[in-house]
Amino acid sequence: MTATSPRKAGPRQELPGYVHTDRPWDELGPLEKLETLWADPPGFIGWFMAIQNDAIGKRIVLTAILFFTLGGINALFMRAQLAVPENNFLSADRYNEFFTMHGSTMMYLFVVPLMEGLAIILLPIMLGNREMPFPRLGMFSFYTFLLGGLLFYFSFITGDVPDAGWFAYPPLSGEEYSPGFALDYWLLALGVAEVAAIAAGVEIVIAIFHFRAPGMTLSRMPLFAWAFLVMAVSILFAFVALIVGSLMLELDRRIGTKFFVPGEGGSVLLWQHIFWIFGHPEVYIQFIPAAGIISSIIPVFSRRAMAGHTLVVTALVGTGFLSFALWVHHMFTVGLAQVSMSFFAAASMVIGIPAGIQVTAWITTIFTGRPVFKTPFLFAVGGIIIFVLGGITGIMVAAIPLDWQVHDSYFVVAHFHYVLIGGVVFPIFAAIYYWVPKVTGWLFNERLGRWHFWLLFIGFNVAFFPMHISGLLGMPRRVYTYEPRLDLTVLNLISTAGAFLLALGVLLFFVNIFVSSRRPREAAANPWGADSLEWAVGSPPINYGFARLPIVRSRYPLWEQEELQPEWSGPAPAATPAGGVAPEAIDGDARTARMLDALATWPVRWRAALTTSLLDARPLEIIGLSGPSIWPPITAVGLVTIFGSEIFAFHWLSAIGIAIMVLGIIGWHWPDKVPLTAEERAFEEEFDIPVRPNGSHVVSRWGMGLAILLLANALGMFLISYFFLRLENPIWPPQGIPFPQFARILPALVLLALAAAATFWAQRSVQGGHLGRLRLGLAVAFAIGAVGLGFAVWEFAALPFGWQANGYASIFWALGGYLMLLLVVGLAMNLFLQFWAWQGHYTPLDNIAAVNVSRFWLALFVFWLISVGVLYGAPYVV
Amino acid sequence: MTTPAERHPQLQPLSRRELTVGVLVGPVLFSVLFMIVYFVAAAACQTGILLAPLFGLPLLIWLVILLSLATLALILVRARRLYRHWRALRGAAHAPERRSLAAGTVEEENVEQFLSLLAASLNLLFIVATISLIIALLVLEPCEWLSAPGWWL
Repeated sequence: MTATSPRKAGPRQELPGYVHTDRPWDELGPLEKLETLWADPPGFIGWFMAIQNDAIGKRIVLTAILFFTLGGINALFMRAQLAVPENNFLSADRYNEFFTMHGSTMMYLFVVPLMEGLAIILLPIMLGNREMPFPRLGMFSFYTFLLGGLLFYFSFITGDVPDAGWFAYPPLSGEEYSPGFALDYWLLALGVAEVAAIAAGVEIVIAIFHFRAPGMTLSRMPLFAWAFLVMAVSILFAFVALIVGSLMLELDRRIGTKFFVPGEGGSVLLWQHIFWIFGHPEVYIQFIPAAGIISSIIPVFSRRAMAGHTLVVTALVGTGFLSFALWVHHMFTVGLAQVSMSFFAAASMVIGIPAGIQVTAWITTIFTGRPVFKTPFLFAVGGIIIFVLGGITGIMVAAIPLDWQVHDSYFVVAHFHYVLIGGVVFPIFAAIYYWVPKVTGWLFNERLGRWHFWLLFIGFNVAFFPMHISGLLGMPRRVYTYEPRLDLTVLNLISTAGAFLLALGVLLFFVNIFVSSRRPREAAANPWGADSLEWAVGSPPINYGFARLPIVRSRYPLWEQEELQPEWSGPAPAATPAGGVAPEAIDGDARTARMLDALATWPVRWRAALTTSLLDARPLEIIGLSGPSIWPPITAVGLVTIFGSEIFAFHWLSAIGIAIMVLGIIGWHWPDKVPLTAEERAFEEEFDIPVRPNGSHVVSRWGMGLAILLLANALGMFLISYFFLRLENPIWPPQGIPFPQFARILPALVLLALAAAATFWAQRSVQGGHLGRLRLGLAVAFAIGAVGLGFAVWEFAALPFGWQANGYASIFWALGGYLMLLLVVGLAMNLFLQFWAWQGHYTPLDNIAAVNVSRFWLALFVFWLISVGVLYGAPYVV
Repeated sequence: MTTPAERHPQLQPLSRRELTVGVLVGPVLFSVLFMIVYFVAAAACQTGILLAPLFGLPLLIWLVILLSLATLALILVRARRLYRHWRALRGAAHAPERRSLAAGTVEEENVEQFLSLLAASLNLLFIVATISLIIALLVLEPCEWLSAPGWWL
């Protein structure tokens, strides 16, 4: 489609500004209108405004592969250094930088973003919808990830390369032992990437909950979606912990707080706890989606249904929960009480059960099927074999005595590379070989693919198996060389040779991409004979995915619903459930089918998608999704400017970043109201379903709910830190600091309660049709909340201690600062809402923004109540 | 031979809320227990409270066992109910349909059966996890580390 001024095109005033067409709108057919409506804008600026899940997902995946390559090059430098004893290829300092950058890149910039990118590409077509629920949030996620990753690698240019490991333990990572900017890069640049991961996680959760095709009940949801759901929920909990920990460490480095300073009321173990509360689930955040990939591929190439489907779901969900009960098994050697360690040792062994269930299900599926050994299947099977070996050593190191023996040795390096390369990297390659034909429309060269697999499989085992032995012989990890008399030379030389063989395999993968894309073999819509919905659309899929959204009546829709076959040319889908599926599965099936027929050609002036219910995927709303916008990238630039300038303590640049970010957020959320016409109302009446072109109530509620959950998680980490430091300090508050006076903060708390009540009253008023009361209530709430903030500022300004005094003072200020920041955000939301209330934007039926702001204020009050209770009450009680 | 539906004529469908709670109850209770006992144990070992012996074991251990047993009981009750519900559904009018699909067989459940089984099996997993916590408590000294007498027992 060529780009011309949209003003030439038909009834411009009825179309959103982002629609570009060189033909009169009325001359376009229904599918052409759909394609035009869902197309990304053309041109250079259009590239930055691109919003399609396909485009955004591909960019995220390609960027993650770029970082995978960089991380792999770091590893090759390390292996070259270790090839022979007392080698001088890298200095000790340079070696520290390489292993830090390798680990950090692989853990933060490769797997999680790649998995999220894959989900953003696939979920809409796999779940039978047209887009992700927050397209602009997906854009924001991509730009923050890209810019955060580039900022991290910018450290090589400025010469301040992080060198304290991917875990950055203090005191090594503190200002005293890591002066300069290196650790600030680690904390702040990766902080940006963590924000990106959370943003995409929110989107994935809501897509899986409410963007499934009618009839795709939870029992029919693909295992891929289950796995990515568990991954996304885990991200929401785990990454917040790291962001809070990173903030505290950065504050220690920059403004002299004492969170992690032993002897001044802080504790280095607090960092280890916070880091591993993130770090261990992070391993499962990587493995669980990989397990979902394997569970998608194995049945297709085994030509049979997945064995033990429900038990596999059990295993995925169980693993997700248990992964948060394992963090201390990274800390068995720090000197914790035996009873504490025993809990974690037990949980570390129990997690072998769900892993075993999954492996058993995969093996059963393969052995009772008729396997076809194509490249994706080879990678999946190879991954299982390696992962099982890594799992066995995982159970070994869950035993505390053995862990003490091999801790920080190459045995552990071997163990987690078997888990992560077998359990994650092999499945990622399987996914690439499996889904690239769908995404690009061309097939990989099968022969090169097999060479790639075997080189990777052999190279990996040659590289990492000897590390078990070198570890048991006592070779410590993270040390840049070793002495010849330790008899480790041969083992290390073999490992290095294996690493380069592995790298050759990866190189062959890039060669395969080049060869296969230069001389493409066209991929059919369903080249593998697969079962899930993404294979029902063409390869590559058209930008709107499904014109007519499908009705799902089976766990394996393409194997059992012939009308969904891409080549199907028969009559329209039957309007009654087929196959004996419980009739309640789709509410009013005939009506749903007619509604979906109608939705294929209407509306064509805004981007329509369908939301469905959580458990049984009944249609809930027809909603409008946001279109292309330049504001999410601008917001991302603002965020990265803030974090990037703080690396060098350029506070003035930070202020500019804040201004850019605020501007971006306002532009991003500026309502682009689509008036409800008679057409929409007729559709609503005919199909008895709300039509909401200005956005979904369901998605909006979940969005605010998850935002509150994220804020609550952050608060939880601060509170855990408070109580941890309390345990570390026998005198609390420390000598010289008076007990906090509850009466001084009480006015702020009372005013906050009143402000929350006024906001609630305002929201209820607009639902009753009283727009004037909405304005009044919001104005009153703002005034009361602002005075409350004033009281809080007054109380903190009068505190007789600064945040640098000791650990108690630091956590007191941090928690108080967090609460006041949330209050400022609440006041800003109030102002935004007031502005639009005065513009007359809210009606009794369209006021979800007011509902969300009211909920935020309620949560804010609860946060304040709990935190004030702890800060002002705990010293008297515990 | 009677079918489960005949054996359970009173069978009523579970509400969506009950099914959702059923899925989450085991994992959430276990997580809460885990956090509580970890912090209680850390506090007890740090401060020395709750370490006085009672019937040969420190009070701390009794407290943790008590909390664990309470959690176990709650999960068990829910798991049993959901398992019985799933079994009843399995044989009743809602029987899953088994269809031949290439080399395998599809056993398609409706969402209620699926969630009942998912909840029952998840709860079972967390029953095992809770029991493993208690066993670990019974064989280890609570607050000692490395050089304390008997730490290896």
